[in-house]
Amino acid sequence: MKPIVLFVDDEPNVLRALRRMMRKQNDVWDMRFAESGAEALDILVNTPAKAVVSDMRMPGMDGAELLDVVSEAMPETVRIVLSGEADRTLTLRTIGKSHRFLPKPCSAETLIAAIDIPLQLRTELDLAGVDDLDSVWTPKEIHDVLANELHAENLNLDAIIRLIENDPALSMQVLQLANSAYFGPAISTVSVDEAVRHLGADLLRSLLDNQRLTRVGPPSRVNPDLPQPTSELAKECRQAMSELDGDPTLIDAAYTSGLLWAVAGQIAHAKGEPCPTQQAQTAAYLASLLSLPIEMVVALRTLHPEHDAEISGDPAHHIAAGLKDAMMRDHNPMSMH
Amino acid sequence: MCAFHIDDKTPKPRLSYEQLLRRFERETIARIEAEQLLETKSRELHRTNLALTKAAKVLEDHRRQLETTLDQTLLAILLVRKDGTIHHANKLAMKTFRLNEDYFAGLHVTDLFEEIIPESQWVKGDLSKVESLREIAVETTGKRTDGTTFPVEYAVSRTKLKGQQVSVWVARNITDRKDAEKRRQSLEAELRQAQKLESLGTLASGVAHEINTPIQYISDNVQFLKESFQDLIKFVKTSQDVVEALKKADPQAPEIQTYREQFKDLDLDFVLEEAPSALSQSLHGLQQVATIVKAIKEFSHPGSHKMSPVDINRAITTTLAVSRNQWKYACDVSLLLEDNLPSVMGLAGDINQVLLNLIVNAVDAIVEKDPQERGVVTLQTQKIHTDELGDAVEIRVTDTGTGIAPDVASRMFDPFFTTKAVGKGTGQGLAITYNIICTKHGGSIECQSPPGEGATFILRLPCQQERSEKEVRE
Repeated sequence: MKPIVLFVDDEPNVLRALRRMMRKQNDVWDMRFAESGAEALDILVNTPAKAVVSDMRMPGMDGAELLDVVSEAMPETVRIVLSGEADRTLTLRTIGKSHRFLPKPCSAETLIAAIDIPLQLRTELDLAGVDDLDSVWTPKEIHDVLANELHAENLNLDAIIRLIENDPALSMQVLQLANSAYFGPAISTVSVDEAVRHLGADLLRSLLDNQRLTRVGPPSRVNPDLPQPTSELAKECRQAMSELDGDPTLIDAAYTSGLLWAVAGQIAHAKGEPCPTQQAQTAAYLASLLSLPIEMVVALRTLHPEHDAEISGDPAHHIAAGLKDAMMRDHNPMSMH
Repeated sequence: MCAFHIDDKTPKPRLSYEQLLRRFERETIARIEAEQLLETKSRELHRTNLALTKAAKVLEDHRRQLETTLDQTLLAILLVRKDGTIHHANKLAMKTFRLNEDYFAGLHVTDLFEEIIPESQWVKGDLSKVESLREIAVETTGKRTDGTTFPVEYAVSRTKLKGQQVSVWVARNITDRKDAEKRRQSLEAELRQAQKLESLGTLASGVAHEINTPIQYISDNVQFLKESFQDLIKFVKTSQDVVEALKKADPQAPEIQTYREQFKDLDLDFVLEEAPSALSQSLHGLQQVATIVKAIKEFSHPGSHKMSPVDINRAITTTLAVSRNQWKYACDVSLLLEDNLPSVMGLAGDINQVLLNLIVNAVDAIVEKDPQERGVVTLQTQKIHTDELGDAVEIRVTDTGTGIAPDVASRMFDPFFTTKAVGKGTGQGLAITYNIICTKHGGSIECQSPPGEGATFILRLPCQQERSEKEVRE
């Protein structure tokens, strides 16, 4: 059965044009179109969509409200905002409820890739546990320290970056925000450092104060006794990569890969079947939801699935080596935009 | 009795002792009275003398007090004779106009003030009735004896001295006030400019939203038409082949005739050739519209009043996109932007405004040099490190225009200084630029203009704004 993709926009011309332009995707997706939030919910009740693409400003139920309902009721959907709006308060409400923000006008290729890549990765996964990026939480202690740092009179951005880097949930959040056009133009980055600098302390503070930056809770909802502390593995990956190759982008990519790998491991562990292939697929899926550069998604997806045993032996080194291989295969710089 | 005997030759009768005694007593009394009177008078005189001396001293004190006051007052005071020559000047007046005791005797008020108010407007009576100088003051230019000038404000009142009509000229050097006014005006102008940009930004992002939605569906539709047309062309080609095949089988078939006629009527050859490129061009145009809308949105950055990381290379391309209309007819733009340039902490809207100012100035200089000849504006960026700024980004804006004369170069960052024709420039551009780069961002700006070679503005912006705070804390 073809996955259902639902498009929501109050401007019928946009929907009709999308239908026309996307007609070739008819072979891949079952596309539905709704002119309002309410109509979208009606459709979703009978036909559970795998992806929802919604405009933001709509009369009645707006995009933020719709995506809020969808993320609660169907957390496994891929949720994309397609909007010409730059209204910060409105955008703020979609943080955590949507995976990606695409500004209008958006080309067919970009839109199709944004839907297709996570959907494909998702289809091969079949993991009921991978409902959402919200499966990772930030411990309250870290959240409180970060809040203090962000409200400190003398802002120390380096300290803020170190804090965020050490928390998987926060790292994933800043990477997602920077790689998407929620607030200003998107950049293509795999570096938490770069992402934080791009977003700026003011935005992070306003997100934190509005409880949009991260979910606060016990260390992990997925698994209380972690196989390996997430940020430790990430650091090992970074170390392994710096021994392999001094390229700063690769080193950043290794850190982020380690982070995603560890989070994927927690998810797999929670399902009770920790298998490296599935862990690689999950990590790649997470990377695609964060809108990370396509090379990174591909690299994670192709992390030596045939050498399961070796990976479990010394994961950091294998992630670094695999990442380097995958990146070298693709000669493009780290960019999918 | 005895009086009857005056005419008599008979000697006067001798006075009796009693008589003499009485006379003596009388005379003694008279002398005593006289002496008493004398003493009283001389005492009175002495008292008067004392009072007078005292009065004189008080007067002298008053005089000295008055003179000191006049000399110490913050106002320059001149006593002027009826013919306009200077009679007296207090210390500050001497200082203000660089007067010389020996010299000012021959001076006339017109030597000191550019503009003299007509006498009819002078204050009648004394100045003390006027509450403040500002109420009656005239603003003009003061002229010093050494030829320099300064803004001055003065008031005149008339009075009499030794029966002569004199006028009192009270003047004040208002350079500081003028400077403060200028600063205030330039701040106001900057504020107005900022408000203008702010509202432009708000408007632009609203308009951008409105435009982006139609661009979205127009682009999608044109894309669809383009793809469909490619499919149709394929199909038409196939049908042509089919018709050819049919023609071989039955050359006289009426359908073939109709097909050929219609093909010709519709000018289908032309349509098949031109339609795809018409659609491609439309898509290209839409892309341009989208780029410009995006640039305007980014350029104005509404609501960004806080320092955040700014990508200078992006700021330059954005600003060029918005200002294209201002430079495309006058010059070519050459971009030498360093890859992997670090971002600087700054106010994106302000930095964009600076870049716009510099680009517009460069274009003006090129047009001024020769309106016919196309010039080149080169924008260059690079990462640098200096002791003052630490890691920084350097922006160079070079033009092939008129260049900047040294006397202009020394004043060009002053508010309201402009070399442009009246109505062409406000003289605010470079002052605002200076303020944004140096004051707000802690950067530096300089200008190099070798004679006859155009000009280069060099801006340096530190990457980290919190550097100083950090240092303080450490």
